[in-house]
Amino acid sequence: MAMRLEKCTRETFSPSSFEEIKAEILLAAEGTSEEEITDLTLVLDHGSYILSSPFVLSAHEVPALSRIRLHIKNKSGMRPVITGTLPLFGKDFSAVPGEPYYIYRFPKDEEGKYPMFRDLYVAGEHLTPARSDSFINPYPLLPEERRGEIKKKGLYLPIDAVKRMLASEGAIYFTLQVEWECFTIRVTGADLADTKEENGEIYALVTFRDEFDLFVRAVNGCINIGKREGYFWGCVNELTPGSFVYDHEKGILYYYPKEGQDVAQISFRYPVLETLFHFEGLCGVTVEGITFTGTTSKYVFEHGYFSGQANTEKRAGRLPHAAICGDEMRNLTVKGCCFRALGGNGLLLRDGAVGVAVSQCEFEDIGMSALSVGNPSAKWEEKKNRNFSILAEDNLLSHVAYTYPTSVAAYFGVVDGLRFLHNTVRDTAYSAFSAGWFSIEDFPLGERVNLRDAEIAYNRFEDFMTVLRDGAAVYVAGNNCEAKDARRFNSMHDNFALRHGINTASRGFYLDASSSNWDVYRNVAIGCHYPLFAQFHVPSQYTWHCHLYDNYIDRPVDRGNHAPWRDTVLGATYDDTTDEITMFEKYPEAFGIFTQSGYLSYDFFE
Amino acid sequence: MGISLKVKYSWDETEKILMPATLSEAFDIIKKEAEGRDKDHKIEVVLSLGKGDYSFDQPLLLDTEENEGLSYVTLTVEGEDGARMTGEKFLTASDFKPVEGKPYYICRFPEKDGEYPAFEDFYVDGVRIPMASSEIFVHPFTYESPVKEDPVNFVGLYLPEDMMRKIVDADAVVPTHIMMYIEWHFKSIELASVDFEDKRENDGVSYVRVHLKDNYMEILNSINGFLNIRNRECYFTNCPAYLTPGTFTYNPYRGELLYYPADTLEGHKLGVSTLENLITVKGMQNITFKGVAFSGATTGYRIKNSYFSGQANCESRVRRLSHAALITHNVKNVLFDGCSFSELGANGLQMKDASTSVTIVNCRFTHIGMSALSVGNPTTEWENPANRNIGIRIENNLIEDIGYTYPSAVAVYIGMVDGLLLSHNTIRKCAYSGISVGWGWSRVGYELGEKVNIRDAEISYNRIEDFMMLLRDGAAIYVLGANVDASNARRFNKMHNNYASRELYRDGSKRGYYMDGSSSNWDVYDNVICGVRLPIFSQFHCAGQYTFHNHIRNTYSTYAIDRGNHAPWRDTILGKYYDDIADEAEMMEKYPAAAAIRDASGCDLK
Repeated sequence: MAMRLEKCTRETFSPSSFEEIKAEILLAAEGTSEEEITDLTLVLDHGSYILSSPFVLSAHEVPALSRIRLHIKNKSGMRPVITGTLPLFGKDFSAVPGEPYYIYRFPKDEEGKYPMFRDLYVAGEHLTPARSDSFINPYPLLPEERRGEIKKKGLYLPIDAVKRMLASEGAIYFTLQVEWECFTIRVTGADLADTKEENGEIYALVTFRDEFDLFVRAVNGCINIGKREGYFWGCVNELTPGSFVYDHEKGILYYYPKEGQDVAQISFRYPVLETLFHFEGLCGVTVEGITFTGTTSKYVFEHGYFSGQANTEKRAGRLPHAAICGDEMRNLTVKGCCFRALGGNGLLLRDGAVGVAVSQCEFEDIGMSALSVGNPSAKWEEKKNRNFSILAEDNLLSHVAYTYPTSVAAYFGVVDGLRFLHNTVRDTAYSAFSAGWFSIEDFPLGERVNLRDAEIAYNRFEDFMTVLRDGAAVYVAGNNCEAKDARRFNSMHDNFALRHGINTASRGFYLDASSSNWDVYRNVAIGCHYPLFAQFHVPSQYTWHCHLYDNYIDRPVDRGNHAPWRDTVLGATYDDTTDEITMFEKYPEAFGIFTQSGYLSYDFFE
Repeated sequence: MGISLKVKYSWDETEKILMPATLSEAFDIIKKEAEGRDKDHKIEVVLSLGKGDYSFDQPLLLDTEENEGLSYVTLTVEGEDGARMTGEKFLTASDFKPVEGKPYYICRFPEKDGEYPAFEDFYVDGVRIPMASSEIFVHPFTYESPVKEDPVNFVGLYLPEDMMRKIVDADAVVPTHIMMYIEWHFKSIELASVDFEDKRENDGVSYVRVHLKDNYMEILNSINGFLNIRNRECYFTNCPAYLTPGTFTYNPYRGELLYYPADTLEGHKLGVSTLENLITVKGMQNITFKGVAFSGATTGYRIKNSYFSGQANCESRVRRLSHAALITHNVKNVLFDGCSFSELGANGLQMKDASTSVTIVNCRFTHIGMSALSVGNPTTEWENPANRNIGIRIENNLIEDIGYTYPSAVAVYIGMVDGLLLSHNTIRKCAYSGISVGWGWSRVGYELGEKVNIRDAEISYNRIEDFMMLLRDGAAIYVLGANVDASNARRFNKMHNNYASRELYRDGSKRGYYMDGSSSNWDVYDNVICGVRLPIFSQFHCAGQYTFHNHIRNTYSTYAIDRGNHAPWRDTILGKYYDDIADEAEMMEKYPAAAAIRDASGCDLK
């Protein structure tokens, strides 16, 4: 393991830590005149680089950094790993008499606090956090409760689940999934004497920390929490083999070993960082051939987590928790990197991104979004929301957003010039891809942008929407110019989307919220309740100037997608087969779309 | 003839119909009706003009900064056939007195506030007649930059002695100008005095030193740059010595107009205009002008201040003068349909600052001293919203006899623009380029959409005849500036199916389709160009301004196309072209495709 920092003039430094690297970079930046640009290349040898604090380079704090082009790359043939974890050895765990699990008690730090983390790793893999079975919350929020006129005491949840939760040790949280939103709140107690009966089932009152009042008002007004699934987590009595619970309030980590597993031989790693690299206002950064792993997000422990669409926390917005977080980045290249086992996001770009290329990367086991570019805002007039020329090509995104399920695997905000090509996205809690935001106002093309010049093509989407509802393999939102402009300057084509088992709320190719000016053609959707959906349920969000043709689907197409008076035209659609085998037999074109879809860099990923 | 004003209120079913006596009164009513309006209280105003002339003494102004309520006014101005707005003030024969011993007459204007009116347009029967001018001569002396250090050269120019004697001998005091054509510049400079003792000789012709007024020699020195005045065409204008039938001169310091009638003084409609614009609209949206004619506007700047024009009629001290029949600033949703702009001394329609969603169709622009139509500011600062032009459509217009008074004025000027359709227009007889689009000469580093020079432009099916009649280094269609970072190879601008023709004479500086100043991302195809020595010119002379990502194909030319246009290393590709026939008629016979392009080009207005 070694690092080397090269200037373009071939001066070479050999820093021993990222702190030293930063110092050298700042020195080089300050030594670069305003008319010059200095290229710096940081070459990382094989090995794990454990960060004790995020590696932060901010041109806002140090304007001279705008004169540096930084290239961070692996030494040829090597696979350096950047991580924010610390080791924890199984031999330091204690057996709990009469229980199958072991515990480790963290000492308090200098400030008298225990570490805070939601993720735990062994051998580079996420361990499973223990949680209860899912159950249904039967009761919706009343309008008076939403308005704050009636103070809600808590939620009435199935009494058996509540009893079991009460019997457990641990800092316990309740997570509730509501369509495309998800809420997590710290449980403070329950009153088994305060019950309600519904269809012969008894529901007992569960009470929550103060943020519960905010939760009541935070749920999107057009959805409700009644008959929605939830579960408890952080309960020690829900431990199963291979799972863990961490009580951050007492600093106790519980681990239930798998059968035959010797705890003393396990080397755990717990994350102390929420972000590994944080760049701000930089231009010309390249990151190549690096693996990032081992982060977490702590926000939920102190505030709960109220997530709106696309993992937008209703109070904090997009948290900067990511392996690489970039704000106001320009000319960023991320190539051949691996983002694996991360508690937050993989690559997160906020507040305006210009000229970004992400290619040949693998994102696997990511708690939030694998790849997220842009803010969740339609306000193009604010510079921080504008993204230009974004390319994501030939990437693999897998097992994404199971910790924060509203996160889409690949998210793009408002953007002028988007290419999402030849990516494979599989096993995602919510939508595999989402672009645009809820722009419904009319504007002349060019005056503002929601999505312009976007091409989503040759991608393969498998098993998306496994947790939440009302999303899709490819979800696009927002109108893209004034209704009188009929040009179709966005395209979605040659994509293959497959779900195993039809979820009643899953969609294939979903044009929502007044989406406009799309050509959607030569796509395949299998196993989706609505394979094609050009919004025709919500009148204020109908689509226009969208042409859908030559698509292959395994369910009868809904004619609601055909609305010529809105120039939403459903052309030839091949919907007379019910599974991919027969579809491929009958329509070789569909098979061709399948074979041409997905990532290309087999060697890299295999 | 009559004016009617219909006012409809958005919150009320009723409508009001008024019959103002004058246009000024009508505008006053509109402003009054607009006061206090807001988004919930909009009004729709239709101003109808019956057949006849509507003249006024003061320019009319609708400005949302002065009257915010105008932002909520939808204004339609419609004219019956023959309705004309004019700033012309009519004179009678009795206003003129004969000048003893001369064939011309004098009209003395009254002094007002210590000044006489400043204008340079005199109308006879509604037609601007020419100012008395000398024949053209060629200035033979080099103008070199070290001249500043040479006080002898610094203070004057050497001009033909015989012409100067003729001017001095004329028994009239009028501020005579030397007019100089210098490539794409022109200078119109008032003479101060002549020193007949200080002579130079060239080719047997005697030249005497002429002093320029004020510090004009200094200005000329400072702005000439790499251009030179040697062998450039010049003439004297506004000189009584050259009064011939049907010409005039004007002395703005004494308010004296000298007119040499073509036949008799009596029996003609005589007039001058002292208005530099007729109507100015600022900040409004939803404006329509339909079937209205504009005439009788002038400019008084040059005659008192001289004029140092750079590219596209930008004066070196004051930039673009706001002198036009109709001026708009920061407008949106504007339609001009079937309007006529004619006999104007300055610009026809000048849309300054931002223009969004503008349609100009079926209009005639004839006999105009500056540009017929100008949209946008001559600047590269897209980041300033006041410089953005979005969604501009100019179709089926007839544009004829343009720019002969201010020859650097292009017939149709479009600045930075996102979304341009310039199609099926006929442009005939113009002093300089027929069409000029874009601004800026250097390569740019921005991503597509981040900034704009020219994006999504289509210049097609235009017919341009007898262009570049006075100046040099321009073209039938001239586009300027890089349009995105050179890494982006998409060709998002198109120039096709245009027909341009002129007599091949004078010099080889005239061009057909000209991509200048790092122009990029153009597809140029199926165009015809006749009578031009540089039919295609994708800048390959100035190394700092080479073009890139331009593909040029299927050009039909009567003159050989230079292979310098083919530079594959810059992705500037010269594809097929047909330049083997020097005679236009023969070329059309040999290439029916060229004849088809010619026949389909231009407008349908006669």
